[in-house]
Amino acid sequence: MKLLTVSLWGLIVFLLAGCASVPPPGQSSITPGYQPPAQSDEAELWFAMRRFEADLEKSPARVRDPELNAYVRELSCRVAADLCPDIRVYVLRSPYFNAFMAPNGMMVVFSGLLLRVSSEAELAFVLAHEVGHYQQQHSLKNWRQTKNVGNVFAGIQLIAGGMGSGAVALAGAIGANANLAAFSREQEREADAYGYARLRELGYDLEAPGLLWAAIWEEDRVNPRGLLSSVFASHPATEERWRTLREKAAAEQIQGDARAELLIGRLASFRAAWLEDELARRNYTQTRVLLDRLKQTPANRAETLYFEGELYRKRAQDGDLERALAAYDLAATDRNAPAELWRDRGLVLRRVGRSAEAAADFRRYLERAPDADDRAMIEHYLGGSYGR
Amino acid sequence: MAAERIPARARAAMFALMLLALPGCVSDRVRPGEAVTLGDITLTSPVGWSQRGYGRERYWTIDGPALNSIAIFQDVREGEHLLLLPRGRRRDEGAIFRAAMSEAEVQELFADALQSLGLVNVSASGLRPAPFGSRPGFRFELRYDTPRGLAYRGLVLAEIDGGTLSYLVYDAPAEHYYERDVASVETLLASLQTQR
Repeated sequence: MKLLTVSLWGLIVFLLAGCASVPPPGQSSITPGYQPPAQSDEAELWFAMRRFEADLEKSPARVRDPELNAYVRELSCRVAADLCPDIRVYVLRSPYFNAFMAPNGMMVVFSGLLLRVSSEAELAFVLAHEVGHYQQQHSLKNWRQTKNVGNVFAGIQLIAGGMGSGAVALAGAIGANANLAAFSREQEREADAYGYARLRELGYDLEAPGLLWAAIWEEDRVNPRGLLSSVFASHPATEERWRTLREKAAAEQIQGDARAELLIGRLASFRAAWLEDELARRNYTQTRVLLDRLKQTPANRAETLYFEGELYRKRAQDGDLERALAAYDLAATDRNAPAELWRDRGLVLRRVGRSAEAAADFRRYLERAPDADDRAMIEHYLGGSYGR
Repeated sequence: MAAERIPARARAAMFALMLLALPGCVSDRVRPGEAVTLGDITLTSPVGWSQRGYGRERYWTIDGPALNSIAIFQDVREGEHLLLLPRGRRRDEGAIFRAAMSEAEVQELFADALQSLGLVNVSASGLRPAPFGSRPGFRFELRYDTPRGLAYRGLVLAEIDGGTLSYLVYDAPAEHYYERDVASVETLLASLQTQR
């Protein structure tokens, strides 16, 4: 549990240290079907988390698509092996790179994370790492440690406070700030060892964790004040670490499968909505890094170009409107380009004074989307009603 | 407005700021049928509201901000946050108003601002021209859910004039409250008079 990127940091630390004291996967602190002893502090913690989970189940932020949930669930089960029946996965619509697992087996994955994984191997590693924290009961140990040092109420307040502020808020609280999720480097090593080993056992590409980490590091690096995740707030980031991770994976020389096309296909129908969420952050420097990376993947290139145009239209700094037009023009050559492309390109053309071209795009938008809810305003831009 | 409603901590902080920290804070009643002048606009409401606010911001409510509110923002300038919130370190990022924005882009800015405050399933729709007093303006509708699942509806009437943005937002829980007061709000919006 905690930000996924913290988990990846842990993997890096593990690999750098060459740690050999990690319990092998499958040798759980928690065994399948585990329940905490009655009247224990752990039982109390599970009780609180169950209450939160009941809240989460009703949350409007949940992505409820059955196929997507089944896919993430199946992948979680694959990496969790015999712990699968004890783990429940919830996908939340939030544009941040985040995942965490609660002590009772409740795992939360943010859509912003799913947008950023470029292969099934990357996602499998993330999920396996979280399972590793569950297996080793890291959050329980942290909670007890917190109590031992005298801050008894911190853990309780985390849970109670989170209960009152909604699922997304609690997810953020647990992921970013809470003692429950403040894993030590040793704990990160253990979770990373589990994740890395599971990746190897399942035949995935071992370069995947390093690639993902490097990508997220790059997004955070370009705008450290607009953190995509909180990992860098508590762990100093260095380029050397992810480079070492990638070198370590390369040294293993094990041919694994990234399964990039499989993941892209599974998530294809959600990308547009998640990219809209991403752009709504208006954190343009980070989003530009993301879009540059997406253009290198098998994902829908025209869709990515359209959102690149959107980024520049929204930012509208020096030269951006021209960049937006260039991106829209490329995206428009795809026969599946969304109708909104012509409206949005029209807005840019109108802004740069190319009125006739803007009007042509607005007309094309209305032809493609005759029932558009903003039709009245577009007709107003055209100087009156159009086509009706 | 909606943006002050959620998250609760942000709203509480904003109200505390308004009520306690700033001198000249208005705290009074908007009485039915009485014209109220705010900057260069005048409004007449058929029902009574409690009013709080200062400077270019006013907040009206009947039963409390969580149940119904009208937020009135005037003269949001180039480079300012849509909700007049402090800007981040990067001045070109966040929900920043630009004088060159079209009406469509202002609508989009509202949706982005609400989402960035933690609201979910945010949508803005129905953008259309509408008079803002005697000046040309535009309006659209909002829908969103709080993180805990309460659905809200809202409507926005706005104008971009002289490079600044002014707007009124009415929002309330979709269940019962929005419909209960929307006719009064429409009457209020129709009463809007501009002095320039």
